[in-house]
Amino acid sequence: MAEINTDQFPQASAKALNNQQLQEYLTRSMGNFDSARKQAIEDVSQEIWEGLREKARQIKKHTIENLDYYLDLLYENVTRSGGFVHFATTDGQARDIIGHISKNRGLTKAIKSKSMVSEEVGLNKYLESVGVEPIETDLGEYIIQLVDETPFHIIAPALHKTRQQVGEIFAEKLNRPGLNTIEDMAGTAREILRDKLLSADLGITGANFLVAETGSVVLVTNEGNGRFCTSKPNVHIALVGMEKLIPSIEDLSVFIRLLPKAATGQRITSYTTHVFGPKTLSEEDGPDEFHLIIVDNGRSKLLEDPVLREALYCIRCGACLNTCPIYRKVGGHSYGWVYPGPIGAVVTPIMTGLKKGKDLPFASSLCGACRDVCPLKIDIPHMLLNMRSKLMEGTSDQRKRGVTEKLASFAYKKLMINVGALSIFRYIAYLLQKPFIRNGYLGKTSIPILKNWTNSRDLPGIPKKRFSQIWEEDQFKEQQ
Amino acid sequence: MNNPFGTPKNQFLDSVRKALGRTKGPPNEIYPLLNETLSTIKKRKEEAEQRISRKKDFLITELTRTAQLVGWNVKTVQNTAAVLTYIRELLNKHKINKVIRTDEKIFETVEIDRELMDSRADLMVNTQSSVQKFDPDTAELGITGADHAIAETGSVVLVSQKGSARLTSLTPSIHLALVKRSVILESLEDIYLFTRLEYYSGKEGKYMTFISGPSRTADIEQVLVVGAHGPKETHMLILDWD
Repeated sequence: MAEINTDQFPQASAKALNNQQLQEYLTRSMGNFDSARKQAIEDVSQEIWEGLREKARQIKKHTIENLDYYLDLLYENVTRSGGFVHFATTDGQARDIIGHISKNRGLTKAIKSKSMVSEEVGLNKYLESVGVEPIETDLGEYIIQLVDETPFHIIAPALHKTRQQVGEIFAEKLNRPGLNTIEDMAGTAREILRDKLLSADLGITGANFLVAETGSVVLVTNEGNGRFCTSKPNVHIALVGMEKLIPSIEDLSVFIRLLPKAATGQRITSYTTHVFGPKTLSEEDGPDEFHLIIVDNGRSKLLEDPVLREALYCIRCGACLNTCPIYRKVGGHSYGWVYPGPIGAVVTPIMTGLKKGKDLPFASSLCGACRDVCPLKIDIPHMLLNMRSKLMEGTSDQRKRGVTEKLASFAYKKLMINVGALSIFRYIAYLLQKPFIRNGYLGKTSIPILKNWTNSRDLPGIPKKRFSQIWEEDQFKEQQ
Repeated sequence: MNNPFGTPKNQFLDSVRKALGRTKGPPNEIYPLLNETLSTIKKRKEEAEQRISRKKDFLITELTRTAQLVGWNVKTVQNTAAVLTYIRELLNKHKINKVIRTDEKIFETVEIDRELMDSRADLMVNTQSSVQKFDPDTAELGITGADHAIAETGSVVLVSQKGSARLTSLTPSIHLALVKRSVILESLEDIYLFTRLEYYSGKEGKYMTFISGPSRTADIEQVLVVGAHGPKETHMLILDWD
């Protein structure tokens, strides 16, 4: 499994917020995807867009509610086309299955098209350990592989790297100094990776969609590396989360219209590739062996919860990241695992442990922007609230409310039903706070009870006059 | 191939079923698409064909527009001579020496080989038995037909089967696709309906790609660069004479 650092969220996000260079860059660039998406929707009309969203949601809902049935159908049809289907309950199994195939066929050089599940199961490190060289061929993935980092964004893994930084990485890691323009950097990657794309014996991809009816793997890409991975090497392995399924190939027309627009604002991506199994005997090129690995790795924990189940409708477009006021400030790495942003705040704690990821459901202002942009209308804020309540009132392995918090709610309840007591308490608190107030706010304090709150939030100070006093005075003035 | 490391299928499906709290069997609510009979699908396809043929002239205009939007160079031509002129100009403009083409039927009626020889460009036909004039991966121009084109999205659809090698449209930095009038469809619904029927009629073809313009990347600072791993330039000739 990829390293889980979800418990570092408070520190990691504070670090990201204090990284001035990152903040300037994020401010400059984070709106681009968001405005491209808006433009693409405007081009097809809001009405058509809403129709597509509703239809896609119904299709996914039906598939997920009957997932075992459609997985079985998929299995039948992939097998009929001559492909092999493997089921991996855990990340370790997914790695071992690939290790076994590589060993069996004597494979040593793997070209990879971008796959989040591959990141999830920590595939690259494993491949290296069993003597298979993993080569990321998507430009963004290639850049972060060179510096051994994890993706910053679901669809743009190297979003956090400026051109200067990429130039430095190419100079240091590839011995190609002096690259100044983005065109030159992309050109250099094309040139270096071309040999590898042509000489690899294993192609590893993810999948954007799996079609049960025809046993197909569908890849939505722009760079062309996905086509290489599925055309040149002798063996193709698709490593896919079990939720990527849809029933019929005709359902694709809905999703192929939704995904590129929601992701990058494109009408359609350069390539939409449909794999129906290994190549036929008479074909000139293509893999003669095709493996589909269907991965659970914690997804059934989402499945068994009726409220969180709809997180599995996600098609990984990244729109919720692009619009999220939290993601746009703290960036992708703060979340501590593979899936960042609003959807990550839901799936990561469930897949990797709620106790460790207890801060993620709170990393949201619940503004609802993620739900509004989601092409599947996934109700992320509702799920986050549900997780918060689980954490606060949940079972022993989840976070329980502290004694202080319990006392505070008790006192709050008592005060709120007694106007006289509230008034006295308010006045005492007003006097006590005085030494700590700066510009009307209670900033960072060392007061034990308030420390955790004031570390990350400014608490407005208690004003001298109550609202009712101000109101009464105003009424009096008006009467005069 | 049995892999000793995987979970057995039934065990995996059982655990999914358990998580869902459902019992084994087909969905309770019928999924209309998957309950269609073959004759219903055929009938829908015939209706689609009639619709498409009625509006073919409009679809050519629409395909031209949408294809240009995604980065194709598009031209409608009326005869083989115009195709040859286009290829000659392309070879001269880019000083192309090595050309590869697929072994598709279209090249029996649109004969381009002689033109290429006259232009002194090396031509290789991408077949399993083709004489190795040069490494096919070093070709600068790849010429293919098109199994379909989609007016809605500006895409050329290639289905790989005997004679239409996958890499012909991928390794060269320029791709030229010859699109016959008859293969143009209106929408994504059409292509998936047609593909579905072909799947059920057992037609060969294990790989279908929609090509929508040149390869591209915006992975550095979200700045668009045209020409990633696939072609940097794509040309579509619409053969408007059948």
